[in-house]
Amino acid sequence: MNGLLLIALSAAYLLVLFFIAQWAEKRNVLSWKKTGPFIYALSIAVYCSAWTFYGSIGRAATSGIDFIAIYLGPVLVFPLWWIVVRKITRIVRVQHITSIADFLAARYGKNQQIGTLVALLTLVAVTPYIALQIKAIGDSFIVVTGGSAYSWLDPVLVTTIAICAFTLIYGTRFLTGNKPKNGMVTAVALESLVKLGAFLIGGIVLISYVFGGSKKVFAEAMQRPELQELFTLNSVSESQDWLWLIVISGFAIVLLPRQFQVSAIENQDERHLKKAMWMVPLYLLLINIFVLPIALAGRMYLPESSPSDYYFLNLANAYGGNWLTALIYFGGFSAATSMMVVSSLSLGNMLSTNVVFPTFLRPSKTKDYSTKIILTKRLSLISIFILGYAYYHYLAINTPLVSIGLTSFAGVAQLAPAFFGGLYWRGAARKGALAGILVGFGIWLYALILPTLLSNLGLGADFLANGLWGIKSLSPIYFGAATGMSAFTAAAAISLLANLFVFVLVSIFTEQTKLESNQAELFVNIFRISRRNYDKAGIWQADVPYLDIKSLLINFLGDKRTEEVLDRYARINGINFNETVQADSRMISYAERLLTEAIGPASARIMIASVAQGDEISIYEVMDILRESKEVLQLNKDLRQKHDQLARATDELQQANTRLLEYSDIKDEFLYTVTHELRTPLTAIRAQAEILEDDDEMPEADRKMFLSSIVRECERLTKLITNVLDLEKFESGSQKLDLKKESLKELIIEAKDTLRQLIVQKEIELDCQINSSLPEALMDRDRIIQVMVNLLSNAIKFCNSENGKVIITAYVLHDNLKVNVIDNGSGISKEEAKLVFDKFYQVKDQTRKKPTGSGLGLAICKNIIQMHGGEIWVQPEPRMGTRFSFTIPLVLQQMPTEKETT
Amino acid sequence: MKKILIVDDEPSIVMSLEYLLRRKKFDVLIARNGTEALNILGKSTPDLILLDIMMPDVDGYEICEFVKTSPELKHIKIIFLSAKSKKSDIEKGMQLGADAYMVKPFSTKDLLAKVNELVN
Amino acid sequence: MLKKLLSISVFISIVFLILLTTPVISAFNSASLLFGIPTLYLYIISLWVVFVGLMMWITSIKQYSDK
Repeated sequence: MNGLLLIALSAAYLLVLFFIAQWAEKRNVLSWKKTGPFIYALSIAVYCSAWTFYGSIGRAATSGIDFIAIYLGPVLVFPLWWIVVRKITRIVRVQHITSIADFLAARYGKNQQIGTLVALLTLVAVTPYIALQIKAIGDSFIVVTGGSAYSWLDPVLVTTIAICAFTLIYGTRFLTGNKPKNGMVTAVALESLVKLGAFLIGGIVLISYVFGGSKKVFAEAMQRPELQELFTLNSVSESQDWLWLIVISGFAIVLLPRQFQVSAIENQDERHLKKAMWMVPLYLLLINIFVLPIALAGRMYLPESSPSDYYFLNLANAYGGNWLTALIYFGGFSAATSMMVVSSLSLGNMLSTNVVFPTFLRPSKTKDYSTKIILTKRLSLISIFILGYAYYHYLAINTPLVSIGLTSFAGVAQLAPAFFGGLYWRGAARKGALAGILVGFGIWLYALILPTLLSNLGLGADFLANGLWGIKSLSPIYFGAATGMSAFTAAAAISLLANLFVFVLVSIFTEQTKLESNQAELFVNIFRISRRNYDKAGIWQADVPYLDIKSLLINFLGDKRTEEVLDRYARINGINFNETVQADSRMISYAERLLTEAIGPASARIMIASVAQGDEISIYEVMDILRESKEVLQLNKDLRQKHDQLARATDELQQANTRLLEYSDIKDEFLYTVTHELRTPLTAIRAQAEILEDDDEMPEADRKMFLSSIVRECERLTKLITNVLDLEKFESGSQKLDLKKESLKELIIEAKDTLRQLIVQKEIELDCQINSSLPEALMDRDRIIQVMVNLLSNAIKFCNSENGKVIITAYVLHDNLKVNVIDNGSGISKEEAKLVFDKFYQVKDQTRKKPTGSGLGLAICKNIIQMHGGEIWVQPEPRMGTRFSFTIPLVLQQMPTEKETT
Repeated sequence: MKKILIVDDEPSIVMSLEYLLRRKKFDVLIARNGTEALNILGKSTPDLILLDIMMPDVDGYEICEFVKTSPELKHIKIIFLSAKSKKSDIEKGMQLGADAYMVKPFSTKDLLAKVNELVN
Repeated sequence: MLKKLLSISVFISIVFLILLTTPVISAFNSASLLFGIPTLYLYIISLWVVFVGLMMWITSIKQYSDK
């Protein structure tokens, strides 16, 4: 094909790429729900670089099926994608990590040493790989165009510059801040489609149409003994290679900078991971399916001198025509350029953050680094391209694609122990990681890089041939010869195992700093730590003026971005920064994370520490505090419950107490009154008895008077005591009525008789109006008489002193026997009427002497009547005085129980 | 001859006290309630008052207070005679200025002793 | 449920690793054709297809994601 045509097509292709990227940026393609998972999966396919496109065929053509090992590794990793990569993605998002160097630096105590080491390691390991892509573009160009070289226009250089520009524009668009790189990722995904399409179409056309189907090809190849070995894994060394290749490529799909970039850092949605788990293995299957047939076809149908890497192109050229060749060319082109874009972005980032920034970034309140930061990032990116190109131009020219690729893989695999160890083992320590990586890296350099370097420079032939100090197996070339592994596999295995061993050993015997163990906890247990707790971890226990934080952010992120993020923060958290004076620990943590995005975790921490001057408390302390406060809260809750219960119980208790006191008061009062009542007659008795005792000469009349007084007082006393006891019986309910059918009339008459003397004495007119046909009723004879006597004597007491008149009436009213005792005394007031039946209540009658009663009489009457099921009350009698009334039911409603008298 | 005023509404007690005191050659005045007592105090001045507390109208406390705050009466000795036996009752009585408080039933011997003590 | 699914995933990884490495693979390691396709090649490709099928199935299960 015409060179100029190809150049023009390439230019067009690149323009399309730019176009697509621009469009994707505008339309925010990564946020599209339906396409999201596809784009994610396709971007992971950036794993298939020019090595896949050309190198695999080359390898298949020379050593057979073992080419497929580097795809089986990733395939086998995908079931673990959800478990492993999701964790990584979560950590990346939460800690605002932008590269694998930052990841490891952050994990091992936000340590710059680790970051720098990893950055340098990946630089050394991956730059050749980038060079390889450039070489592939160059080589494929030559193959297609038939080897015309242009001295005035190196298409390779131009392509490199174009890709560099592309990456600058679409990769470093938002240098500070992790906004979705719509353009870049979409372009990469598109290129993955092109790769796959080209391969499949090329494969179908060539194998099915041109060569009559794959079976035919296989059958033919079978005829040729020299090809038969391609069908198998032969010697032991190949099977060892096979296993280690699977292992190393398994690591590579996660740890390669470009893979880390697309699968973790550029991931927009964790759910995309699920689709990728079957899409990517499917992709890998499809893109490899024609490799072996084509390799065989190349061996069979192309001249022996034809480079096996480019069998595909040459077969297309020879048998397919221009358009097919162009298609395959652009397939390879896509493969190479997409790898370059992502890798260089990743490496450039690591270079700036972990190699350049530490040299000049210093904590400063005034120095504005924001422009320098952006500039550095861009320059770093450009230098990656320069390095890659330089490597391609001066060193990589003669090395087959495959070995460069494998060397890269082995180099990046040195991160595996520290990476996966750090992810799952809290005890993984910084010193362990450092030691492990150094050891592994060292062996790798010695065994894999050194030989290439030396042979390219034409040095050390002797060393290579005879080894160190004459020990042949120490020579990188014969490495592992003793074990029967290929040099490469030996180097990879030994470096990895040594790495792992040292890593674990040193980690076990090293103490972690507080920050380290903090970070370890945050990484290993990321899913268990809520966002809130996370914010509190690594608390900056300081009061930092908000403006200090703001100016710090401005110094590194620039005005515009700072404005953006602070606005966002304010909105989300409902804070008004105009009123804020102090930044709280949450804000400081947030600021730290923002800086991490820009300058890496180690530098970010240093910058914040310069302003915040706090001591980070370990997350364990935080968890302890939180646990404690949770316990306290729980305790508090329990306490509050108990408190409430207590309050209620106290309330009830108080009420009961009050009631008790009231009762007590009542009881006291009762007792007091009773004893007082008892004392009075006793006083008289005693005094009189003593007088009698003392005075021998007392006249007989006086003596008799005293003695009878004593007797009277004794009676009084007895009566009182009896009454009290009676009352007590009634009150406690132990009183029992002796109920018999009695004639009320009889009882009244009997009561009247008892008081006859008194009536006569006082010249009281007693009027008895008792209905003659009063029915009998169940009554306690003595008790009713007692009531009548009481009422009568009261009436006699209180009736008019001059013309005392008492009227007794008895009749039937509403199923009851009703009795009234009326006197013509001074009457009774409403208040007194209520109180008169109370114990010890004695009517205050100023004109009279203190009543001789105990005040209990009416109370007892009340009890008696109530026990009969009746009622007793008093009311003023118009035109007379006072009327006492009681009723007794003709038919007892129920046998009065002991508890009736209340 | 010393005059003693007995204030009590209980006739049997009054009778006993009167007899007791007359035998000991005291001049005895009797009031059966507070009002009567005040009347008597208005007319004559006894040397000592035997004062019951629980009386229907004006109780003994009031009488005592009245006496002890009247400049011309306050020299009169007062002995409370009461069935009220609580400490607070006694305290109240003494606070009002009584010279003695005897709880019913009292010993006549003690009473006479006290009377003699206060009057002489 | 999720835990079970995750364990199955890990199991798949391990099983296929075993199936694809010696000594299992040596059983198919012959320079012959099976249905016109090199035995080893056929073996690997078939396993691969089954694998993809398994992954499609397991990720389609609803519980295979975090709450």
